[in-house]
Amino acid sequence: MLNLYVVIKLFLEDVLEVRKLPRRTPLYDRHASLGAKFIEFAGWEMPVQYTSIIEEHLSVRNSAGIFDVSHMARIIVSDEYEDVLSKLLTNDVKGMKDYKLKYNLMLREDGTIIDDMIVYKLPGKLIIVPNAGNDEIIASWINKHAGEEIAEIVTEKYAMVAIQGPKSQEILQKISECDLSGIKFFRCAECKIAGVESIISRSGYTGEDGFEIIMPSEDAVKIWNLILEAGGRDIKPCGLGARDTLRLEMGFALAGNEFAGGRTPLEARLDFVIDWDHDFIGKEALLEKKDKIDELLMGIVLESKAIPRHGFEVYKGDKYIGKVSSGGYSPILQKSIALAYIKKEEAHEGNDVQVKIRSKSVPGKVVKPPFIKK
Amino acid sequence: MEYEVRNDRLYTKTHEWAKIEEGNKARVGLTDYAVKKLGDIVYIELPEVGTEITKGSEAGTVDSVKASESIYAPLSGKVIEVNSEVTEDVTKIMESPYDEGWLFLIEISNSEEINELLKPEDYEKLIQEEET
Repeated sequence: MLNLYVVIKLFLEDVLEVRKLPRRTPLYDRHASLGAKFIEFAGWEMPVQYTSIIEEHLSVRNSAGIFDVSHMARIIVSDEYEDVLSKLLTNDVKGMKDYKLKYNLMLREDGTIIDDMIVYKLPGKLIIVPNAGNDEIIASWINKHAGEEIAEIVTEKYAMVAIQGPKSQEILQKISECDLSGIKFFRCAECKIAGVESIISRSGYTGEDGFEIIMPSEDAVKIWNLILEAGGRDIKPCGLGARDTLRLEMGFALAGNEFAGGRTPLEARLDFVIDWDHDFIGKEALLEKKDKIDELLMGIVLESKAIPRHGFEVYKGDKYIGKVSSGGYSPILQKSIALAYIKKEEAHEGNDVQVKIRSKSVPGKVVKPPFIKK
Repeated sequence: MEYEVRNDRLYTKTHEWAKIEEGNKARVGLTDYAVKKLGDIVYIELPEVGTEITKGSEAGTVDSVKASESIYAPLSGKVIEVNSEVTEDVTKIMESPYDEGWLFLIEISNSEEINELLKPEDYEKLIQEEET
């Protein structure tokens, strides 16, 4: 009886090709009412822009912007499993002080990056925030190596928003019940916002001063509205479009672009995220590859506003020297910029190169990111 | 969302407009719908004066922060003028896609092709369909 049910279910799913609808964050209706244009990103229906990507970008650089980042995965692991996590992460989390954050990488045995993530240490637990859509992959990886289920996916239980820009603290302080000036960079605090228990960290993906807030999903709308109200004309809602142009100006990696096709932290110039003083999966492979790096991730500033995209080729005269991993427009430089993996011998600042955009050869100069001073 | 469609010109399925002018000429641009969909336009590549273009072929490209799209020739002919105001300041396209933001002017080589273009009412229907 049970077998027949399973057979019919599989048959129907196959025939009907039940399409998975994209997920929505608790703030979806708010975005819609604010006039957002939506796109699908990592299985989530997210706002790409509300007004103009450039306007939203400039609002963050000059004043403040608020982002819904609830699509990012959130995983909780008890700190009794610190040793297990330590072996899976390049930036050691063993003995992390409470309320500290660490940018981190999870590698495969061959040293290539599975994902990048932020790890928060809180009393009794660690909160891991990998990229959107990677909840299951990361949780399974952790459980597999633990030999038991120690990773709890809490992506639906909690929501997350980011407030970024020079006026962030001034705005958020109006509604926070703790002293935000006491939270240093890459630190966090358990703090109430209008009575709602939240975790506020001084962190972000834009290069500006700002905070990321984790709160119960049922309070997301309330906090979003309060922040917009507290900011008034000084804050704009910002979508994924501006999120991308902002991180690109800083040279921050977007996993789906910069780690695509299997990249090691050495090629991606993320050596600073590696704690060589502990054992972790991928360490041996990295030690072996250390002197054999072929390509390095560098920045290119173009002499045109034609926009380079992921996969576009980079040349030095007739010589093919690499590919663009992320390309876009910099509203601050008012030029197009790119991150690209370039052959090591050509990967030096000031090197004149050309990016092939459609049929044209667009000149540019190699730079070491960030593209703007912060 | 309201998109402006002018009654004094014809349209393509790929969201270009063509305004037939005296002397067998056609002025070409992007529609309000195209421009709004593109968002922040930062760069445009237009054909050079003297270029022969064929209906339906790629005549240029437009880059917005979000996407790069082709500009297709609504009619066949020779490019006799390119809007230098737009090449100097791309934002003109977003401000005024039907007037100051025109892109290039062609000398039509095959006037029968004009019948294949969409009338304003048909273009309105097209964008309504695309929106649903």
